[in-house]
Amino acid sequence: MIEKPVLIRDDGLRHDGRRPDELRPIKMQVGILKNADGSAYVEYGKTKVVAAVYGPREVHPRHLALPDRALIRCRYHMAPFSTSDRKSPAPSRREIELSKVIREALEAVIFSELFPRTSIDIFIEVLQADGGTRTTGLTAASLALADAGIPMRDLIAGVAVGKVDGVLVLDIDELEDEYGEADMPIGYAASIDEIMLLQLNGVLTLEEFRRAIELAKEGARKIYDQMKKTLHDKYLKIIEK
Amino acid sequence: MEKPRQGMPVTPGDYLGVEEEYFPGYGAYIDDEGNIRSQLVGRVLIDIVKRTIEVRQVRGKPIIPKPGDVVLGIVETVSNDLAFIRIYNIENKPSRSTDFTGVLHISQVSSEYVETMYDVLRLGDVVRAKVLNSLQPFQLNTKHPSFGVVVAFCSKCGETLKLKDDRLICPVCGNVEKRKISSKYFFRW
Ligand SMILES: [Zn+2]
Repeated sequence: MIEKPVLIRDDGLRHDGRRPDELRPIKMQVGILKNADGSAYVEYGKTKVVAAVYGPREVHPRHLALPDRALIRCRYHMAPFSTSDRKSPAPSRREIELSKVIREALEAVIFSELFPRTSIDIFIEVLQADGGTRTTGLTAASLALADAGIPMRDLIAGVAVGKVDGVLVLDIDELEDEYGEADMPIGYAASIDEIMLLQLNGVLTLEEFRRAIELAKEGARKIYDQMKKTLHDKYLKIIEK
Repeated sequence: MEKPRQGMPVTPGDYLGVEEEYFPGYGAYIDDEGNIRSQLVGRVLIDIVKRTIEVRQVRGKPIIPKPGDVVLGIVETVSNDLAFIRIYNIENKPSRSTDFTGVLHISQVSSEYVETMYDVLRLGDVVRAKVLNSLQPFQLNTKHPSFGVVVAFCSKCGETLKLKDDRLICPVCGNVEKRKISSKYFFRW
């Protein structure tokens, strides 16, 4: 039995030295894969994810095609070397569930009716996992879709808020997730101000929940701004000059 | 909110104005509150006369064949009166991968009478064709002289056939083959 580590230190900072409302260092790149129609690489601290988008393209098998819109498929996958635990290459229940949750969030912003009888396939590969893989994956997938030129209502930024040692903290890592009291990942479309993904594992009071949403939105807005800047720097800066 | 200017760079979700000001064009939409927003990564294009606002996409415009497009594809299956062709390229849109199924019916091959599909194309040939419809599978037509087979292979030895005086000849075994040959056939004697 491992003893529970100190998550909030005496000085009020977290185990890795962050303030409660501080994000991990975040890195983003778009258009990193040559053979995909859109792609992105996103790092939240030590969590590292690649997303690739293919389509709109012909649906295989063909009977899955929808007459009035594109079929959106999403595969969230943890690379076998991404965690310290041994992982079977077959999709786990958790991967299947996260694929569905991320797909539903993205479906809500994609104008799929513009591409009937086609599929848009999204592949999210977790290269290294240190908490927040679904939110990092959602951010990466949203960037990859924008990179692929898929029309969307907005970009979605993912981030998780947790409760550790009774304190609400932004962008929790694996240790905080494991020993914390609650974990609440959200996906936030900041321009249209809509929450596209919201889950809660653990317990929060109503007041804590309200504050957690505010904290998450605030963090997601910073991530959202960085997403816009990443797209801007890659594709729009040159044109402006 | 920032007023959109001509040429302003935008990403999905960016505010472009209100319904009363403009009609949303390509790459723009109206949200639940009547705001016009961008769907794409691109630049703002305002037409003051027509009162339209649109987004000119900078990269990665999704491409799906549409009527009138000229495409290249590989013959995947052939029967007497029908061929299935895997479309891998749309002419003048080289930046993206394309993968759609096209169907060529014997009546659409040539302005001359064709008895059987096997006289005009073979498995593995590369065909240049025009798209007729906007629904999948895409129907194709190769009647124009510049349409038809642009690459063909010898059915005896597999070598690439070369075009010499309107005939396709195998440079290895001398076999002569029949096709609906495009005036843009790639390999010449
Ligand atoms: Zn030959």
